[in-house]
Amino acid sequence: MTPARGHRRWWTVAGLGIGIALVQGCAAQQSVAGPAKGGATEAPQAAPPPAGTDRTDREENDGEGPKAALGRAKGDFDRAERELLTAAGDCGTACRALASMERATAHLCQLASSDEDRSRCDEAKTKVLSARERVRSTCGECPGGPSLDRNAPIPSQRQ
Amino acid sequence: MGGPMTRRLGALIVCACALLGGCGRAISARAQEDGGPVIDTDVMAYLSEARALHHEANLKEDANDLPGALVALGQLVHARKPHEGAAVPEVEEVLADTYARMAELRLRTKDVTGAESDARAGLEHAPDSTYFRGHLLEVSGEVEETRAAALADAGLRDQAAAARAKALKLLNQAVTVQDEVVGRSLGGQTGATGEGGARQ
Repeated sequence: MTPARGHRRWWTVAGLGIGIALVQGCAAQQSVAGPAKGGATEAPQAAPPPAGTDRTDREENDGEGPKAALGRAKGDFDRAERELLTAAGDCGTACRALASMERATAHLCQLASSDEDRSRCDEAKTKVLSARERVRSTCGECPGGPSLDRNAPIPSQRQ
Repeated sequence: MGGPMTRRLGALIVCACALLGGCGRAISARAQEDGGPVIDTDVMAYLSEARALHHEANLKEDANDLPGALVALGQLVHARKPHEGAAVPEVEEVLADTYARMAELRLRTKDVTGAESDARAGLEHAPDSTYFRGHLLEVSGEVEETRAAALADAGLRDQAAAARAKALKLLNQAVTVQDEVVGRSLGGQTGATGEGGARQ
């Protein structure tokens, strides 16, 4: 009955939201105020080049002002954040939705007594199996969540 | 989503927090100026409080102190909300999630009426077809299932049948909503048509 209580989606959202807001607030502050001391020698050091940056990129960075370098770093961060949210959020949500779907289906089938009820139960089971397949093909697995094995019982986790 | 993903998330959050030392600008001012999502200090404080109270509820639940867990969660839903009167998505999710957990705990204490009330309150914070709404519909279905069993035990057959029919409807809606959520999360389409047409 109880979903994985230790991982609540809004915790992640809150953490990321706070982090992003801080980075953006910081970037805005620095771009307005400019480097406080030492001019161009200080600000770019705060943003090391991302992994895989080749020599040409570094040479180009050397010619940038602190504002441009900060903008580039912020762009990298935003892109990484979007990728991370997509990967973490979507599969996490899909897995939790699947687990909820399984529990609801189990209760639905337990209550089924008439032919109509049993037909609804079968439809719900079909939806669960289809969802399992979709989650499996995109996410691979649901760590700590429902089984994605087609032959696993419904629900696949102890309630 | 497992270890590596958790580490990446952790690293990202730690990185962002590290920037706090060099950044004293108020987040609320930045959000308002940009017209972006209002994740300001009030919202952050509320989310932090939410996390602490859910943790407290975890500890109480682990100690089998379900009333204690309910007190902690009740404190959260009755706490002052940031931007009272405006629907901040993060806050709405916290409330929907917390009411669902309270309803589940109340069911475990055999408080069916209280569980129904919490589930209904949670649904008001999750009007759209989201995981939170699906979960609340699932819990609502379980509430009606429990009620149907109690009524049947009391020999009230007609009322038990009505509760059972309601349970089936709610559970069916939960399956439909969560099927939509899975499809949407993975970027695909589903054949679902909403909660029996009641809500999309």
